[in-house]
Amino acid sequence: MTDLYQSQRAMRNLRRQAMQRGVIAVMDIGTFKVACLILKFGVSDGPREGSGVGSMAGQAAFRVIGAGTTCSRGVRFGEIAAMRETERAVRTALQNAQKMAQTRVDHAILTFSGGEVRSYGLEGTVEIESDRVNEHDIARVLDSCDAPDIGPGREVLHAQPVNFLLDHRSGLADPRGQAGQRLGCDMHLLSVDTDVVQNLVHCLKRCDVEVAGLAAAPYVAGRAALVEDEQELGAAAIDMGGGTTTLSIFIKRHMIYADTLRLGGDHVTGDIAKLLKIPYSTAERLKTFYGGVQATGQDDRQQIEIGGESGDWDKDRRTVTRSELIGIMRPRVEEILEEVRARLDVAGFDHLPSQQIVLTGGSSQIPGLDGLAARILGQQVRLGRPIRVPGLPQAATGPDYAAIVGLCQYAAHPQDEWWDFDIPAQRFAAKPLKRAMKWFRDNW
Amino acid sequence: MSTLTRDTATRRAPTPSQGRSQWNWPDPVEGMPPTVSAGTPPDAELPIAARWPVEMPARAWPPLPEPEVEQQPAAAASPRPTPVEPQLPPAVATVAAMDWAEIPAQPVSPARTPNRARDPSPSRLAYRMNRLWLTPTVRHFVRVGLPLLLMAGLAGGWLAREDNRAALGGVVDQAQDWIKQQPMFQVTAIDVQSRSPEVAEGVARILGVTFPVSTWDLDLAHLRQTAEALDAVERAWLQVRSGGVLEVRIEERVPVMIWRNGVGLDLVDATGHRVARLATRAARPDLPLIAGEGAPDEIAEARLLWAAAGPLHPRLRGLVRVGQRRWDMVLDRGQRILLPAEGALGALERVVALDSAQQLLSRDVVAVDMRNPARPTLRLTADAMSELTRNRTMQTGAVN
Repeated sequence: MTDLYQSQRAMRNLRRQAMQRGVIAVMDIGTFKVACLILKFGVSDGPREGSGVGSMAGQAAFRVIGAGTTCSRGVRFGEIAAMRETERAVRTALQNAQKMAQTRVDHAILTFSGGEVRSYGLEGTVEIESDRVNEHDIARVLDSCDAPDIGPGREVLHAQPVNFLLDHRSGLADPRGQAGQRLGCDMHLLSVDTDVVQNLVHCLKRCDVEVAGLAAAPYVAGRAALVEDEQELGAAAIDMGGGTTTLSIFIKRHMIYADTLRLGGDHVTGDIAKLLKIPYSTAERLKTFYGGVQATGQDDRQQIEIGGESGDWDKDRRTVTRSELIGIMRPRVEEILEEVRARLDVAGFDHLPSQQIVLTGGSSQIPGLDGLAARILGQQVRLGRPIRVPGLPQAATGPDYAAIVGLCQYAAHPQDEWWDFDIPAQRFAAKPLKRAMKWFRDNW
Repeated sequence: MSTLTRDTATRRAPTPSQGRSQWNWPDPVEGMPPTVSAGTPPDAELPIAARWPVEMPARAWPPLPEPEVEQQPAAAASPRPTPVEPQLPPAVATVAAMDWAEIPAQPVSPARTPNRARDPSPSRLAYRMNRLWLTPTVRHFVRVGLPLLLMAGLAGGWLAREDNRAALGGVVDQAQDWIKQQPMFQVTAIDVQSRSPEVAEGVARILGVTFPVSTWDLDLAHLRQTAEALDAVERAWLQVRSGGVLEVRIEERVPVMIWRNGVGLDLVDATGHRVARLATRAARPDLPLIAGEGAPDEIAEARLLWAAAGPLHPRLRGLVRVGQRRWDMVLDRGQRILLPAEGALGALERVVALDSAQQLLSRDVVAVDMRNPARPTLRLTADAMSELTRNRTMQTGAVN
C-alpha cells in the first residue's frame, strides 16, 4: 500500500500547488454528460460579519468562474468505452469552460461513477505511547488497520477514518490531545478498478491536463445533496445518473458506505427507443418532455407524435399516448429503485437511526419519482438539489450537477484521508531495506 | 404493436384557433387534447424535401412535365384533332449538346440543408492553440509585444536605407521651413530704444540681423549677449513684439570721468568701465579728467577727491594716478598736490583749508607734498626760493 500512499500524496501535492496558483478545474465524466467547472480560489474570505449570511459550509473559499457542459461520448456505465470520443467530449467541455473563465487550467480534479466501487469497513487498535494521543498515534492506528484483500486490478480511492475509539469511548471525531491507553479507529475504504482510473487519467493527460485528485461520484454527490443535519444524523444519497445509479450512506459527516448500480436513465431511454422503434435522440426527448412514472386519466388522452424519418407515411405518423410512455418508463425506474433498495438492505441502512433518503442526479427529475420512490424506499424520501456555490451558472444548479458541485466542495475542503497523516517511520523504512536486500541478493 | 395508434383523419383536424399549443385543453368542442409532437432532436437530419420547389427554372434538367394548368385552357379553347404523327418533344438530344453553363444552380436555402451532426468538439490542434492563447504570457506578447516589435521592425527596416533616411529628413526640413515661414512668425523690423541715437545705431549694426527672419531662427539670449558686449551698453532687453518687430531696449552707461591713457581719451562710467572714445577734451569740458595707469580702477576715490576739492575747481586740471598707488592733483600753473596712498581725502581737505585760510596755492608754490601727513612739505619755485633766501638774510643781516 506504500505505492498508493505515495501516489495519493503526489496527487494531493499537485492539488495544493494548483490551489496556490489559484485556479483548478473540476470535471465530472459521466455517461450522459461531461461537465467541467473552473474554480478560482482565494477570491473572498466569506460573508462579512453581520451580513446575515451564515458560515456557508465553507463554500465561500472559492468561486466558479467557468463552466462547460457537453454531451458525453464514448462513456458507458461511467467508464470509458471509446477513448478518442471521450477525449473529444472532455476537450469540448474544458474549452468551453476555459473560454468562459478566460484562463487556462492545467490541473483537474475528477469524479466518475464507474469502476465498480466497493466499500470496506476496517478497524484497527493500537496502544498509545505517551499519556496523550498525538498525530503520530493517529498515523499508527490508521496504519494498523488490517488491509482487506481488495482483489487484483483494484486500487484504493478513498480511505477515510470515520470514527475513533479511545478506551471504552466511541464516536470521537478528533481524539488528539485526549488521555487514554488504547486508541481504536474505524476506517472506510473505497476501492475501484485500476484500469478505469488509468483510462480516465490517460484521457485527461491527452487533453494536456494533469489529474490533481480523484473522487468517487457517490461520495461527492452525497456531500452536495445532503444538508448538514442529514449528513450528521444519517442519510443515503442516491445519485441517479445516465449510465449508473450510485448510492452513498453518510452518518456523522462521514461516508460509511458507497455502491454503484450499472443502471440509469440511459436504460429508460433505451427501453423507450426499443419499444417505440424510434431513434435514441427522439426517445431521450420524449422522456425529458413527456416522461413520468405516475399515469393519470388525462395522460390517456394526451397524444404525442413520435414521428420518424423513414418515408413510410404510416410509420412517420405514429402517435403514442403519454400513459403508454409512462408505462414503458415505470418498470425500468421501479427496477432501479428496487435494486437500490436491495443494496441499501445489504449495507444495513435500516439499522441507522435516521432513514432519510435523498434522490438526486439527472434521472431524479422524472415527474412523480418521489411518489414512486416513497413506495419502494420508504417514507422519508426527498428530491435533493446540490448546495449553492458562488458563481455557479443557473443552468448548472439542477440535481444533475450534484456530483460536480460536491466535487467543488471536496476540492475546497477535502476530508481527512489515510494518506494525509504521516506514515510511521518503521513502515517507511521497511521498503528501502527490502530493496537493498534484494539488490544484495541479486548481485552476489 | 398494439400500443401504437395509427393516425386517422378525424384526429388530425386541428382548428386554426386551436393552434398547436397544448395548454388550451380541455377544449369544450373537441374534448381531446391536441396532439403534441415529439419534436426533432437538434442534431437530427431533416427529412429530404419530397416535392419540387415551386419556382423551377425554365431550362432545368431534367425537363419538367408540362404543367397541367397551361394545357387545360388551351385544350378548351381550340380542340384540335389529334395528329397522326406523335409530336416529338423538341430536341434535347444528347448530353453533349446541352449548354451546361446556362443551367442555373438550384438555390439551396440554409434551412433546407441537412443539418448533419456536426462535431462540436475542437480538434486537438484547435484545443492546444486555444489553451496557448489563454496563457497570459503568450496573450500579452501577442497583443502588445508583437505589434510593437512589428512596428519597430518595419520602421527600422525602412530607415535602414540611406535614401529613405534622406527623404525623411527632407520631409521634416520642408515641414520645419513651412512652419517657420508662416506670417505670424516673421520678424521684419528692429526697434532699438536707446537714449542716444549713436548707441542705437551701433547696437542695430552689431546685432547684424537680416530681415525678414523667422522667430524660430532668432536666438534672443545670444543677441542680448552681443548687444551687451558693446561698451556703451550696460543692459539690453530683447523682445519680439507683435507685428513682427524685434524690440531692443538699451540702458546706456553714463560717463562720469574722462580717462587719458596712452592711446587717447576714454569716457569712463562710475564703475570704471570704458564707455566710449572721446575725440577731444573740449568735447566734454564738464567731466573731470583722470590720467595714469590703473586710474579707472580707483575711480570711486577719484570722485570723492574731486568733490572734496570743490573750492579749487576753477584751477583744477585733473587727477593723476601715480604708480598705481596714490593720487596727484594737478592744478594750473603746474602746481601739484601730492596726496598720500592712505588718507588722501583728509590730506586734501587740509590743503583746501590751508588754501582758503592762507591762499596757499595762489603763492609761488610748485607742489604741496602731503605724502607724509605728519610732515607736509612745500616745494617752491626757484625764484620764490631765492627771494625767500634774500628775505631771510635781510632780516638777519647775515651775509653768509
